[in-house]
Parts: sequence; structure tokens; C-alpha cells
Amino acid sequence: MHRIRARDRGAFGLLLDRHLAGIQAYAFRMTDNRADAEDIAQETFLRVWSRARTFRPGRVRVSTWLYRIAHNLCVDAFRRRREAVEDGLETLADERYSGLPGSIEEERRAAVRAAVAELPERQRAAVVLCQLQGWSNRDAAVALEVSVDALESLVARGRRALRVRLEAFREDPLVADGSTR
Amino acid sequence: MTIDEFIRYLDVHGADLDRWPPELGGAARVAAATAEGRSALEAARAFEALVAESLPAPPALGLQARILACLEPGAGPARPAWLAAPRWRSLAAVAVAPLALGFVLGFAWPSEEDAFEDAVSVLAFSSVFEEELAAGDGASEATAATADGESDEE
Repeated sequence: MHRIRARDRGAFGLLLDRHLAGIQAYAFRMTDNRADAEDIAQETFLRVWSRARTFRPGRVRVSTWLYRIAHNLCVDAFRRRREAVEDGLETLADERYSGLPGSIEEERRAAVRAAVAELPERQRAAVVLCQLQGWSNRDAAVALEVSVDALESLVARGRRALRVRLEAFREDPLVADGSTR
Repeated sequence: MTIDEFIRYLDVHGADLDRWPPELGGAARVAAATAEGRSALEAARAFEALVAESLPAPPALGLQARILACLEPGAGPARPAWLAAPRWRSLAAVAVAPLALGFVLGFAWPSEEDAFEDAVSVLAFSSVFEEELAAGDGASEATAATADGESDEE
């Protein structure tokens, strides 16, 4: 990180190699929108570049700092989307809710994505970080700036809420098998 | 660890027992070896697989090159407006600016009301000050105490 602070583009490239895919995946899983995810990933790294001097090495890890920035940008994206919906500029319909006929597998994926998107922001972040990004509860707690106990509560509540919403799919043997009609 | 506890911990730590805290790992494996525990663990694994395959990591086609291009000198602002200039900041600036201006103006120029109050004070107490000067220090202390609203009967 000290090389990035010294404006070393090679070091910045290495940081991108190591973390860009993860940050983009996190943003996509949080926003369920590829364009927003790319914008958020790009902005996260541009902020790292421009604010590298504010990074305190002893306090948090680089990856934690990156995810914290990305998470805050995701929250901004949710707020922007809510405001746009309230202003009538945008509807919640996107590729997820296109209603296009597809295989049962596609419907199942759409239902899972919709269920994740309906989780409250903090629960969603906790589930995405711990279950999909493979973070430990402790690291996720630092990234989301909550205690480990609070993080574990968020993960548990998020997973339970998802299970309840997806119960219908689990009970459908066709869906459970992943076969198509 | 009871089966109920095992199921509760599955929600907290997930279906990969290797990722559980070491102090719970042994007891978790014992619980997972029971019929009920095995069933709960399999359900948790299926649930996690379902979520993971529905939200795969998207490919980052060309994104890295785009980010690096933004660092080039003279590169235009490739950021979406909603990320580059959050709306609340401009709204906050609009809201705070008149307040700041009012604060500065209020302190820089005394109001007409203040000037009027000053004039009244001078007129009201000018005779008192003259008496103080005439009567000497003792009288001056008593007069000042009265003017402050204190009683002479202490």
C-alpha cells in the first residue's frame, strides 16, 4: 500500500489483480445489477488511488478497507435507486424481473436473487460477505463496522429469512433436483 | 452440543464445518454424525449451493483496463454522476451557505436594536455613574450591587 501511496501504478495493478474480481462480485451480489457493480468496483479503486494517503496500515487490512468503501458505495446505490423510484424516474424492474419465460432453473435463480435483494441492507451484506465471499465472521464484522456478535446475528437472521422465502422452491422436487420442465 | 444448538450454529457459521471456530468444531462434528445433524447439514449445504449458483461472480471484462485508463493524466471523468457528486452534498451546501452567511453578517454588523439598547443604557445609568464619581468608593459599591439586582439586605 505504501507503493500505491507513492503513486506506483504497478502496485496499483497488483491490487487490481488481487481484489477487483472480489469487489465486483460483492457489488453485483449486493445490487443485483451488473452496470452498478462495475461502476462501484471502478469507483472503489479510484478512491483507493486518490485517498491512499488516508489509509492507516496498522488499523485495518487493505482488503477490509476496500470492502468498506465498496459497501458504502453500494449503500449510496440503494439510496439513489430508492430516490429514483420515488421520483418516478426508474422502476424496480430490471433483468431480474423481466418476466421473460425461461427454464425452471432460470426462474429459481431469479427467485433467489429477488430474495437476496429483499433482505435488509445489513443482513444482505453479512450474508454476501460470509456465505458467498467466504469471509470469516470476524473480518466481515470489521468491514461492516459492527461487533462480531452483531454480525453473527445479521448472518443468522439473513439466512433464516432467505430460507423462508425460498421454502417453496426447496419443496418442489423438480426444483430441488435442478431439472427442467 | 445439542441438535438444536447445532442447527442454530449452522445459521451463524455456515455449512462448512472447517470454517467454524475451533472451539465448536469438535462438538459440531459429533452433532453432524447423528441422523438429525446430518440431515440439517445437508439441507444447509443445499441451501448455500442454491444461493451461490444464483449469484455467480460476474466476469470483469475490460474493467481493469478501464480503471487504469482513468489514472492517465488528462483522462476525462469516467465516473457516473451519482458516484462522483453525491446529491446530498450539494443539497447540504445549499442549505448551510445562507446560515453561515447570516452568522457572519450578524456578528460583523451590530443591529439597530443593539445600538438602541446601548443608547438607552447610557441614558439610564449616566446619572448613577455621576453619583458614584461624586460619592466615592463606598457608595459606588452599594450602587453597583443594586444595579446588578442584588439586595442591600444581605
